[in-house]
Amino acid sequence: MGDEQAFGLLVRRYTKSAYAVAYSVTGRHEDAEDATQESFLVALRRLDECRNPERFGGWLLTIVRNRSRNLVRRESLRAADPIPPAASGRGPTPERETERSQLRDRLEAALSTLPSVQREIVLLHDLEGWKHREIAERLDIPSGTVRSHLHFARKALRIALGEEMEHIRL
Amino acid sequence: MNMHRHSSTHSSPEDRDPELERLLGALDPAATDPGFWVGLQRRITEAGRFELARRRRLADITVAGTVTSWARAVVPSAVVAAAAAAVILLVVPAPPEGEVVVSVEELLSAGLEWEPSATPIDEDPAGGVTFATAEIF
Repeated sequence: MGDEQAFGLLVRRYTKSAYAVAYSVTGRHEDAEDATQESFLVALRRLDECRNPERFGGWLLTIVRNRSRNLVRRESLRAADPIPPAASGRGPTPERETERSQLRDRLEAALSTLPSVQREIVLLHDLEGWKHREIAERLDIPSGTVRSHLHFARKALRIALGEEMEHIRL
Repeated sequence: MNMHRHSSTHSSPEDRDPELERLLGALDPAATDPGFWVGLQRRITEAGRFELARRRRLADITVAGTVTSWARAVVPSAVVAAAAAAVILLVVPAPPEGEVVVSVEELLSAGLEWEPSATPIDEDPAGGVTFATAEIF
């Protein structure tokens, strides 16, 4: 397998989980997308540092987390300088009045109340379908800790999204 | 909503939260843009091509550099060895094949049996042989 094919395989395998982690840190779709792309390129440049191929996933997610935090820091510094709304291109538009957009806003608000590790775990488990053991291996924490974080994250989200949860049951 | 799962085998049923999973599915960019993941993966692999090409060039330089450094050490050593061999061959004559020149004293002290195959070079008028050459096969 050529190196381009191998890289493509890694990208397909880890893009969604990288995005989930990036989103858990940044809380914004566009920032999560940027951080994900940036992280893969950083991982490629620093590939020699990943000595154990089996730990590539966890190593990549560490890079994602760090790049996402850097991006949030850069964005917060940029936010200190007022930018004309027309130039930003990323703020909400008046057209974002659909039900899904409102739901996303509620979800983002609910997730922002969680500690970052709970946010990351609930997105990896409930959005990406990872198992406790997989998350524990990637994040290098005990499986029991993953279960505990997941339990409290779900509890907090259910409270924050009470109305939406009722809507689903009906 | 069609959501891609990381693994085809899920945790035990009691571990899943289908209601919350449905809600969180709204965060999946593909829910509003079905081509999102394919597009993102394509952009990442495109951007990765430049880095991969750079790594290949670096690897080629490293191989060429290694071979060159070997040549730098090997060639002068070979030249020196060849020069030394030439000096040895030219300065030290090789003995004729099959012929060993020894003195009479050496033959006598070595206890070798021999027959003089050459006539004495010189004869002492007193009856002794002062010089002789011999060939030992």
